[in-house]
Amino acid sequence: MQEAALAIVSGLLYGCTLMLVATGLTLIFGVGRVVNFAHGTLYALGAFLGASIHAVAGLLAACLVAPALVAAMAVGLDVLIIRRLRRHGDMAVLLFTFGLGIVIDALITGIWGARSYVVPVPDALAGGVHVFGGQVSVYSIVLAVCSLAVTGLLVAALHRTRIGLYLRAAAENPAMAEIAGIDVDRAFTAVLAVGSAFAAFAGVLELPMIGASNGMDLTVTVLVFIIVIVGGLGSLAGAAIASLLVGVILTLGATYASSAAYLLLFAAVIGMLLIRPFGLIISRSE
Amino acid sequence: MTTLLGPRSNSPMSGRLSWFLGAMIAAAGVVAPLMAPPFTIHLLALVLCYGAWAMSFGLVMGQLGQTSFGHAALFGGGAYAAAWVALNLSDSLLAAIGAAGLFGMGMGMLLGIVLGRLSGVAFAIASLAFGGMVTQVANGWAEVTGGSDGLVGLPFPRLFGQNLDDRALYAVAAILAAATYVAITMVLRHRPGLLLHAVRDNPVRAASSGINVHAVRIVTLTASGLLAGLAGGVSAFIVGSVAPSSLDWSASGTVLVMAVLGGVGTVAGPLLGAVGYTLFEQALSQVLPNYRLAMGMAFIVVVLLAPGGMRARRDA
Repeated sequence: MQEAALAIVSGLLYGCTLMLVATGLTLIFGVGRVVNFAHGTLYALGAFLGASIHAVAGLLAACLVAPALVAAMAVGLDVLIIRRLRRHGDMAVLLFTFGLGIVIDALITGIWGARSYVVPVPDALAGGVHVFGGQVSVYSIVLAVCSLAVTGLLVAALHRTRIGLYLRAAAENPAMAEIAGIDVDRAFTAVLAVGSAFAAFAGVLELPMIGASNGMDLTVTVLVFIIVIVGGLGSLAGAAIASLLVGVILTLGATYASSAAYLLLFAAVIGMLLIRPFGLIISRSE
Repeated sequence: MTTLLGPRSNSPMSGRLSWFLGAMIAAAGVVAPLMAPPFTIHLLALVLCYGAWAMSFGLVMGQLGQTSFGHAALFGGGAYAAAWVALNLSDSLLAAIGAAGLFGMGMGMLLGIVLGRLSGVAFAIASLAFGGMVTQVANGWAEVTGGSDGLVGLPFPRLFGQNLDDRALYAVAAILAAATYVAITMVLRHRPGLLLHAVRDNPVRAASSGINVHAVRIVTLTASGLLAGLAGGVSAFIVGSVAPSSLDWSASGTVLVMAVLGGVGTVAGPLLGAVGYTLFEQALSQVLPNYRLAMGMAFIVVVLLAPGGMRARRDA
């Protein structure tokens, strides 16, 4: 029983990190209608940038600067390319972001080389907490709190501020929003920037846990897309719930079914898709 | 009738050019093993497997209109099935490749049943997740799949009592690629081709004129899985091993890049793309360690130059 409780706790913590990446992806799709196949690569880019900034100015600076750099890059790409490509349909944009992922990944290898970067846990956040007969690191709790706080801020901003209102209007009906005086192009650019920053931020936050290494984005990309599918394309609430679910299923599976953890997830997702092909919660903007 | 059965505007490779290409492939299949050095034969055999795989992918992306990021699960799945049979059951090529085809078929059918109701970007994402999960199963289920090491040390298989070498495997791959090309071309010339294009061009209209869209997608993905599985099975013997990375979404992405670079709207385009990609990769990786950058750039250029040329689908 204790074992299960511990697995659930660490699953929830893991799910919180996934949530940060997944809500970024969901925001970009839900509002901007862009399926960003480079999202996982941006997560890795955030980690590598963060590792370099950490070496110069520490982890806090990395948390601020790396996401800002990635967001700036996203703005540039949107203004230069994605904005124009959008009128050729969702699939053209998806294929572009996929190619972009290959290019960024190749650039990461070119700049940082084929080696891993390790960042120590900050002294203030070292140590562990005893729960259910096991141990959970303080840092992973801080990470989960950060992730929840940022996701909460995003939801609050979307539903409680004027800019959030504009974004939701642009998502709901771009043409009508345009008539009402909202700069839809700028709204889309903004969500792409914020969503990309989320991915990069997650990459930086994960540095003391897993470091930065080539191929670190492969598994995260798959998990995040599973989450987005299970949660329902474009639904933030769905993505948040699905992140926690996936985290718990993976850790529970790893505890009790060792090698078959993913098989369990696989079965769960397939069952889910057969019953509800469009995800847990169908987004309103769908 | 002639308008229906004659060369259609959306398959410009049909007609004389396609038969010329087929003849070229056949001629190359006969001549190359007699002349080329061993490594070249090995490489060309692999290229033909990738070509057959890319054509089976082109059937799904170009003709059915479903952009899959999980196609490596069908090809790599076939490779795993062949390797498992070769290591555990029989040294017969036909048994191994038969298992590969069946397994690829099964994976394709599963993909169709589970995700066939989705289209456009939703299918792309879901198929990525599908491929990712298959990869993780291969990674985790070490008793059968060898875990992260994969299945290694495949012996050369036997056919009609003969031990096959690289040259013979080259011939098998060439026959497979030619058969794949002919099979897809034939299917597209006849009624099933019309069904595929009806579903691709407008699923809603197809459904309202009595076509079972989901069934068409299941059957096409199953057929594509058979072809991809066979190609994967042959490739396993050429490479001599199978690893989980042959299943994951970056492998699926590679076949997509091949097909798009070669021209996904045609039957032979993906084959040409696979040949070009693999040979280009071989040439570039010698001089330019970061050749993937060039590949990615080339892919982006194609997407930007021809966003509608890749049969832009309306994602209803």
